[in-house]
Amino acid sequence: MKIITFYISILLFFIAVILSSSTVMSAENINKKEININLINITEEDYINYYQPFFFSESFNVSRHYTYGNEIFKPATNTFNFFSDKKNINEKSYSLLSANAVDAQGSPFLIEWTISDGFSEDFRKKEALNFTSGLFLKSQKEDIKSIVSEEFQSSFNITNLTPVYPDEEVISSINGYEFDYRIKRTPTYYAVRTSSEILLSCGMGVINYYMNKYENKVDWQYQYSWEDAEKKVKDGWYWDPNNFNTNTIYHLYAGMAYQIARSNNYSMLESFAWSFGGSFMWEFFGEWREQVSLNDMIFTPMLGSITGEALIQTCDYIERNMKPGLLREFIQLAINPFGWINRMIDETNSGDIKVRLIFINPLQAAVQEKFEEELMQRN
Amino acid sequence: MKILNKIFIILSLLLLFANQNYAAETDAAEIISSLINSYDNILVQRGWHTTISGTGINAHSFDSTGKFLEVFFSINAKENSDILITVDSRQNSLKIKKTFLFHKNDTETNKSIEKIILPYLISLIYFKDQTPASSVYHSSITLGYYRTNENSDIIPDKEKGLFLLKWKFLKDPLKNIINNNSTLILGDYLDSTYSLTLNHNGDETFEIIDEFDFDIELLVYGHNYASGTEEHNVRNLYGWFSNIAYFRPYLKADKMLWDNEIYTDHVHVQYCYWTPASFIHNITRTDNGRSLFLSYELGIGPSQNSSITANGISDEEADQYDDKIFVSQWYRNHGFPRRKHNYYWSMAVPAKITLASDRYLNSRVEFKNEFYYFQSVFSKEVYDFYNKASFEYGYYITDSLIGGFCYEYHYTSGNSDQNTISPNRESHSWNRFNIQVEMKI
Repeated sequence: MKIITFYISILLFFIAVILSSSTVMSAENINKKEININLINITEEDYINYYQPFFFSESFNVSRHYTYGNEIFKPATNTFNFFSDKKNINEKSYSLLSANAVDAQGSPFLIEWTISDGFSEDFRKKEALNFTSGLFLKSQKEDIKSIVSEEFQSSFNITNLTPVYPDEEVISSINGYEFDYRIKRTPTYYAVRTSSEILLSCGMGVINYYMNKYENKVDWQYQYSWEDAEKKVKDGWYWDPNNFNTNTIYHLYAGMAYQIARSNNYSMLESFAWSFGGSFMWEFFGEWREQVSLNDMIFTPMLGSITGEALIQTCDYIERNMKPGLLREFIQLAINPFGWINRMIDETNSGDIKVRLIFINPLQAAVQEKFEEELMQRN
Repeated sequence: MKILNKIFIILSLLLLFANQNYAAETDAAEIISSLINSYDNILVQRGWHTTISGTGINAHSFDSTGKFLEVFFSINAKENSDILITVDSRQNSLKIKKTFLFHKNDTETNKSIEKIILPYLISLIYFKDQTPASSVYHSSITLGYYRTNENSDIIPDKEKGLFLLKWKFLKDPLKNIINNNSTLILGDYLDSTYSLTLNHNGDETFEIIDEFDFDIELLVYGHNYASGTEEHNVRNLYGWFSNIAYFRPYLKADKMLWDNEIYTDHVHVQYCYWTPASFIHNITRTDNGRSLFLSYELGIGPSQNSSITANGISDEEADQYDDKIFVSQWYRNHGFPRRKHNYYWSMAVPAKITLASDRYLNSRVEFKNEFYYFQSVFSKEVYDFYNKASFEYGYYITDSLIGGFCYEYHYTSGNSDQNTISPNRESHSWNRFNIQVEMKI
């Protein structure tokens, strides 16, 4: 009897588990929000490549509709409309991306991106879609104006912000915004790029060092061994007797790490820390066989940072006072090589992105809808 | 009883209104305070220097290209059934006023005010007021020809002269701003001079580019105070600077070289210093486009410099010259007879003073004295000093072209300790006369 009771209780337990889990599953299905995505002039391949990664969410059941035409769908609840086109501005080709949706409070809004074509345009489009999809997904929980207001406060990608107010003397509402979007990479990206470039410049330094091996080996005191590495640390630093210019002018170039860091969006103090780190690495690893030089540890980052900053400012002066052309680019490359390279990388990635975000007035939309209905009925 | 009832009703109504009024005042104050705090956070995050004063913020910054940007805004609210908010703002000299009206019965008044006004305040930091780019940087190129007398005779008599190329580069975004009271931080101001001597008799690059010196002054923390009118104004700029200076002159006199025959390019007066702490104060007084200028500087920092006391030493003597102060023997012991050096590690104390007038009698006149003291870090007895006094006159040929001359008198003196075989005390002076043309670019 006890055994039967035991088995029944186990059976009941499993039934309960199955039932409860199926209830949870069905509840999940019920809770999943139905979202329609209308894609105008966008192929399925484009959707999979660009759009899907941003709308893949366990909270939504997404159904897609593809169409072609010149006009974007009207905003509707639980619907994201996307419209893609091309246009020329001042003989330059641009991609146009428009999208609209309705926020959690039922207010519709429209976002329009004008993205320059050319090198790295895919990256720019993905960045635009990332921003737009983030806005759309958040708008299903909050009102759009709050989301945008928070975005303006925290985002460093948004520049030249211009709010668009109604043409009235006393303002009570806001119609939208216009702004430029500058792509800024993540701090990790800049940290990796800075480290790689410092390593590259140190690598070039090591090649030069071993090319002048005959002259440099007078300073060699250690072998490539753990014992000598320990000895090097224990020996500490000393004032080195290198050539006057080696200790001054040449170490100014070694302090180039400062310019590298500055061109990777680091502040002056942060860049000085990178320069100090680069100098430390050079003294301990680049010049492995030599005792650490105290004067190099002082003069490399300091000369590199102060003269580096002067050279960066000089580059900016040249940028603003010389006509664009090969000569200007060459001078800038000579004065601040990594700054020039990084600027080229960033400019090609960032391109030209202009954004218009407008809040469509629901009342105005309703009046227009009614007018259109009446017009249809008359016809 | 009825009277009591009436009194009670009247008192209740009064209390109710009083409470409402109190609540309304608190609302407006809270809204303004919240807006100011939010805006202040945004400005600070974007690297602006801000000062909150009552119901406004005065903020300044330099954009990515160093251009000075100043934003001021004050906010006032009036309220009855509605809240009327006026934002008075200024972007440098461009004044803008905007008025906003909000209905008080809106349950989310505070939030909607922030949503509408804050983007407007943020938009103020993106400047529509385009001041010319030339207001940030000021630079000039000087081309000259000079003759040096390597002894104390006043009139330079060197047979062959040398060409001089000098570049002055100043980043001073506040130079043309008349009324300003700002705290400046790292990099807001930078003054630099680079000069190069070109020896047409040289065969190799470093014989042609013979003398080279630069001096870079970078502001770390300071203050700019300018007041007055466009015609008459006074500007004070002072603060903590960090400077780098390098100097290696072109001199051929025996006394100035390690050994005239063997190591001819190694002079006894050369230095490179970094002063982590320098105090600089510039005072400029302008009257109808003409100006008077006074500047003084005092600093301290590590340096590497040569000494006059190591002069006139022969190659044989140099073999014996094994001193920690003057690095020489160390290389010889390692099989590098060519690597002989005369320098020591020291603490440098530069002190400079400049007096100048500009545009008086269509001319520019400048007196400058630079004094450098170098104290060895290895021996108390070892020190050197170097003094350069100069007088410069220039006549404005055009608005951006100045033709003139410069006379410089250099004096150096050194002291070594008992361990060296060289003389304990030495001094030397020389002078130089430049004819030059300066072009502002």
